[in-house]
Amino acid sequence: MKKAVPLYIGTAALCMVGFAYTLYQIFYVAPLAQAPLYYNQKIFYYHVPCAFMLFAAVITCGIASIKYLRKREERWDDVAFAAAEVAVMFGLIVLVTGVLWAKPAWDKWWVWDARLTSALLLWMTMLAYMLVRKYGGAGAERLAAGLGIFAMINIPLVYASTRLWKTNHPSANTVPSLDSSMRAALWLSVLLFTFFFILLLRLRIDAQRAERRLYRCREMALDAGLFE
Amino acid sequence: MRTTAQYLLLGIFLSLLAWPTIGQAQVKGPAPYESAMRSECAEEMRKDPVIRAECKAQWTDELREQDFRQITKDNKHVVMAYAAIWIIVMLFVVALWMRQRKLTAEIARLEDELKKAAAE
Repeated sequence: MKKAVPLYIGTAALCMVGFAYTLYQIFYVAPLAQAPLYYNQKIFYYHVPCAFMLFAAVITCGIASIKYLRKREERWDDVAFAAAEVAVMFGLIVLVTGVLWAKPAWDKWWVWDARLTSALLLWMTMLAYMLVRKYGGAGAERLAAGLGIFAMINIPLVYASTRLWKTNHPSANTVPSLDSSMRAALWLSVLLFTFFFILLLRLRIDAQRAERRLYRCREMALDAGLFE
Repeated sequence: MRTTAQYLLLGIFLSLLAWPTIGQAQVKGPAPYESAMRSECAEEMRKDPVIRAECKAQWTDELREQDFRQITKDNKHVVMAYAAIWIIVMLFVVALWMRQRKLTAEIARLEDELKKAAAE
């Protein structure tokens, strides 16, 4: 953990500088979108990367859950729990920015179309994961791992929802048609959010593992009769 | 001391409290009305290309002006979205930092107790 501190600080500094640069790219370099969105299209540059990070976090949680169920090693459970928490955070950002984008785009805060509904369900599944972990009692890890896998299976459905059903939400095909400076701002944001996601996940995993070690040390001290 | 999960749940709960306000804001505007004058105006425009051109020129300028205002001034939702992103991220990071601080304090307390127990 201590060895990794300079790496964490370096990544955090890179993210801070990088995010400032993305804001410059988004607001001063990328051109305005066509009617009816105009200025409001700028929400897209953070909304889409956060959706990617939501998917990345859910996939991490799902894979770690599978590993945990197969090997029953606590380190995988720590990864899954940490990823679920990060997924809930990115999911909340995606939903909030989506609502704020929907209003100028469709003149409605929310529509129950396939993409929005499936994304909401994915986020609620991750929320359920956390609630199970918090209040599930003994064996909650295994139940939560099942939820993590279920959420991961949902991702292709969320991603393909704009193709499978008629939706108001733009599909991923719109990205190649964007202006080159718009695409540059988007992919730069995606890259930085990826670094930020890895940093948050690592920090959260470290905290989870430290908590587990501390709990074990306390138990051992009690067993050895060091404390009353 | 609250955990990160509790802070997240609290944030989500507070966001849900804003839902009725959002619902209120979705009330639709009035439906387009029908009137004799409106029909007459439409009929005149259909008959006389000069009036139609004049109206079009006048409305085009007005629409351009409206578009310009929308492009340059309508940043309310963008500001709200970017503010929301940074607030959520900051809440998460602060919760993570507080959790880490709690762990460090707990480790220090455990070390003290171990030292005391070893001394006895």
